[in-house]
This record gives sequence, structure tokens and C-alpha cells, in this order.
Amino acid sequence: MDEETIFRVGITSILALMFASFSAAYGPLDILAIILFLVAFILIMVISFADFLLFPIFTKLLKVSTIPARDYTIPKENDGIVKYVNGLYYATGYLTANVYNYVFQAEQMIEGEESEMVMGPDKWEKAVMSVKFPFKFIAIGQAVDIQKYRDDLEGRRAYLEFQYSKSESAPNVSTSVLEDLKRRTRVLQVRIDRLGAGERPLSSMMYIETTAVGITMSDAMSKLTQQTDQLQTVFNVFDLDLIRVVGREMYSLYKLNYYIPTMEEIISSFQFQK
Amino acid sequence: MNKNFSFLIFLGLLSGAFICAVIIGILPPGYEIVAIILAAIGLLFDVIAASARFYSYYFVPFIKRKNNVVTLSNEPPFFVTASGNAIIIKEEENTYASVFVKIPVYLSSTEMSDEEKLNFARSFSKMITVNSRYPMKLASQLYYLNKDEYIRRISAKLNEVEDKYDKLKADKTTPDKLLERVEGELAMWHNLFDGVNKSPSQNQMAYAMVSAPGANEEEAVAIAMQRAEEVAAGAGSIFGVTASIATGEEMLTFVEPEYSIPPATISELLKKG
Repeated sequence: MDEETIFRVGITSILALMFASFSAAYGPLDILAIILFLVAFILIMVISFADFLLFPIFTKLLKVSTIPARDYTIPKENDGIVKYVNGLYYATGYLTANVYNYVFQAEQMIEGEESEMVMGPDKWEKAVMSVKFPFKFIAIGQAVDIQKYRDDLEGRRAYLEFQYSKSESAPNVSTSVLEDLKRRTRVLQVRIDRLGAGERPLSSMMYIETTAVGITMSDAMSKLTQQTDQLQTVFNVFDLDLIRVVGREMYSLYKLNYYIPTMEEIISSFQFQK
Repeated sequence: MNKNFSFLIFLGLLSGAFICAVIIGILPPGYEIVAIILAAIGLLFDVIAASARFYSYYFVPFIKRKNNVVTLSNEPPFFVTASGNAIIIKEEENTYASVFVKIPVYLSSTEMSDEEKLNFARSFSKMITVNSRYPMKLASQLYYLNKDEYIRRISAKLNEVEDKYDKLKADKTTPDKLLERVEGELAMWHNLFDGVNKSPSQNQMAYAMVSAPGANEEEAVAIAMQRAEEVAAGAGSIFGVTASIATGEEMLTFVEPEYSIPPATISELLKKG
């Protein structure tokens, strides 16, 4: 959780709590005030940490569709962006697809990394050959400052080592805790070694985009759903988190088709793509 | 939406909620209904304030919506430059240019040894970290080929051979061997025409995209082109291919959905359902 989220969630929750604290002012309506507070608190939490759950429900309930640009429409379900051109509807949808095994920041890269990478091109080719509709596999990335990254890793390793020595000297030492600390230190060490070997750390985001065509908007959207389902099946071989992107994050991905802002802006817009 | 403006909206809504809370605090006894109404309004402001971080761009268009349609923009999402090698996007007060670099990698894993496969997978990571100064998009796109022109050429040739065949057939002096040869040629063009229409042909293309902001269009395009050339040089050395800047329709294939499903293939797709 970043500082901005902590600040915003903290201040809005405290303010909501203030309303609940005036029990004397509400008199017999005290229970109603508490219910209002609870609803507001839950909404604040959902908006701050999982707004993708709420926004499509909100637009669906109000039957609100959105026009992000000329010829484009986001239907009320908020699960695709439709372009109307030459009497046809082109629906575009997105799936998250962070290939953890291929990015430097992966935690699970110690064992079997090379064999996984060797199998990568074969898996990719098989996946592409089985797809019979347009799609894009997209990775947006930027190399991050090596020195800053190295300092961060070394700091974390030193902290883990301190924790390990503290746990080791504790009277009721648990072997599973020690093993876990050892494993986490090993992961950090491998990453530090890789920096030494000349690899560059990466800040990245990966996703899949697919487009379906139809003679009506609902036709295009239902074909889009079929395509995203098929892509979820096909790309499962890569052990990816393939989740259909909806709502605000989908709109942000659509905008990334046209320009790429800074990596910080991208990461701050995608709570679940980090 | 501008981050500062978004924060101002957040503070404004919080202030509204806070004022409601203060009024509830100073209300004399006996105003329970007023207090609960103020609490509902204040909590609503508070919840909207919480959503301002991500949805401030949506607030004003949502209030102004007509017939349940929220219009964020009525402008096209981008403009193509006169030279056709970049797209221009106006985002608030900023102008951005984006340039696309084609990376023609025609390698198949079936032709690679394990070591080559490993190197190829690693080159993907290398490519994406080709620079550290700005983010870059690296994509692999599968799209339908635009066969309009190809089909038109085959159809013209088919008509030409059909005319030739009809003329030769009408002429009683035509030798049988010549008629047979033209008949064979006609059958070949018929087969080709039927085959090309049977299923859509797909193509896979890797590309990189870089963007740059600028005070005006020219500046943004110049910076983006410079970045694109750096990326093209990097792609060339990593994959050993000649990467080039995409222009015109080729560039639009990477941006516009209708270019990845050209009209020639649509009737076929619709027939298949």
C-alpha cells in the first residue's frame, strides 16, 4: 500500500468515524447513523482497494454508458470498449497477463527458471497457433535505477539477516520461521547476484488485448467474451493471472494504446497490475 | 485529469463532509432528523471524496450526462501527423506524440536449440530494458491480413483469363493444345480465388511503441522519433533484424481495431458466426 492510499483511506475513514461518534445528536436514530457509517466505511474500503468491483455495478444499475472518444462507447457493463465504424462494431477487451517468470522482480525464479525459459518460445508458438482471432500481447516496461534497486535489496537482506539471528537466539525457535527467513534471504541474494551479472531490474506491466467484430454492439461484446475466455484457456500454460480487466483500469489500458505516460503514473493507475 | 485538480476535488468534498460533521456537533437536542440527514449528506461527500483519486475525470461529465450517456470526449482519440509516421494525442494541456517501431522477428522455436530458445527468451527481457529513461511498450500482435488488394488482383487476372478462354473457344482455328493450356490456367486462377476466400489469413508482428510529451506537436514528434530510432537500433542489435518505423496503414494496424480485422475478412467471419 502506497503513502497516498494510506493518507486518503485514513482521512476519509476518520471523517466517517466522526459522524458515528455523535450518538447524542441522533437520539433514537442512533442505529440508523451507525448503519450509515458502516455502509460508508465499506464503500470507502471497496473504492480504495477494489474499485473494479463497484464501478461496473454502479454504471449497470444506473444504465450509464460512456463515450471516451468519438466513435467509441463503453457499454454499461464496463467490460469492453466498442468502436462503431463502417456499420460494424469492433469490441476490444483486456486481460491481465503478468508473466512473472520473465520479469526480473519475480520471487519464484530460483528453481527451474532456465527450463521454464527454454519452454517459453515453444509454449508461445503453440498458444499463438491455436488462436484464430486478433489479439496483442503487450508489455510496458522501463529499466529502473540499478543503484537505488541494489540499495533497497541490500537493506532488505540486512533486515532479514537481523531477523534471522534474532529468531535463532530466541528460546522457542520455530524451524519453519527460520526456514522461511532463510528462503527469503536466498531470493534477495539471487537478485543481488543477478544485478552483479549485468542484468537490469525492470518495472513492468503486461496484458492481453483482443478485438471482436459484430453487426450489433451486443453481438460484438458476446464474441469478445468468447475470445477472452479462449485466451484465458490458451495462455494458462504460462501460469499467468489472466483476469478480465473492467471499469476504470480498462479505460486506462485503452488510453495506453495511444500514448505511454511515465511508469509511476501507469503503476499508480493500476492497483492490481503492479 | 490533472493530479492537482483531482486533489482539490478531494479536499473540497472532504471540507463539505467536515462542515456537515461540525454542524451535527453543534446542533441543539431535538434536531435528530436534521442530524441524520446531515450525516447522510456528509457521509456521501466522504465516499465521493474517497473515489476522487481515480474518478475525478468522471465527476463533471457524469453530472452533465444526457440520456444516460457520459461523454468524456467527442474528439477522435488521436490524430495522424501529416508525414504519417506518428500519432498525436492531446491530453489536458499536454501534447504527446507516439511512434511505432516494427520488429520483424521471423523465428520459429521448432528451428531453435535449447540454448537458442533460452537466449531468445532472455532477449525479450533485454529488449524491454533497452532504455531506462522512458517507458516503452513492446507488443506482439496477431491480426488478419488485408487481402483486399490481393483478391482484387486475382479477380482481375481471373476475368482476363476467362475472356481469353472464351475468345479462344469461339475461334474454331484454335489448336486444342493451346485451349487446354488456357483451360488449365483458368482452373488454377479459379482454385486460387476460391482458396483465398476460404479462410482469413493471419499475420503476427512484433512492435515497440514510444511516446514523448512536447510543448507543441513538432517538438513532441521530434523527441518521439529520436526515441523510436534508439529503440529500433536496440531491437536491431538484440534480435539481429532491421527494425523500422511504421507509417500509414501499417502504423494504424497497431492502433485502430478495424485495421486488425480488415473489411475483406469480415463477411467470412460473419458467415462463420
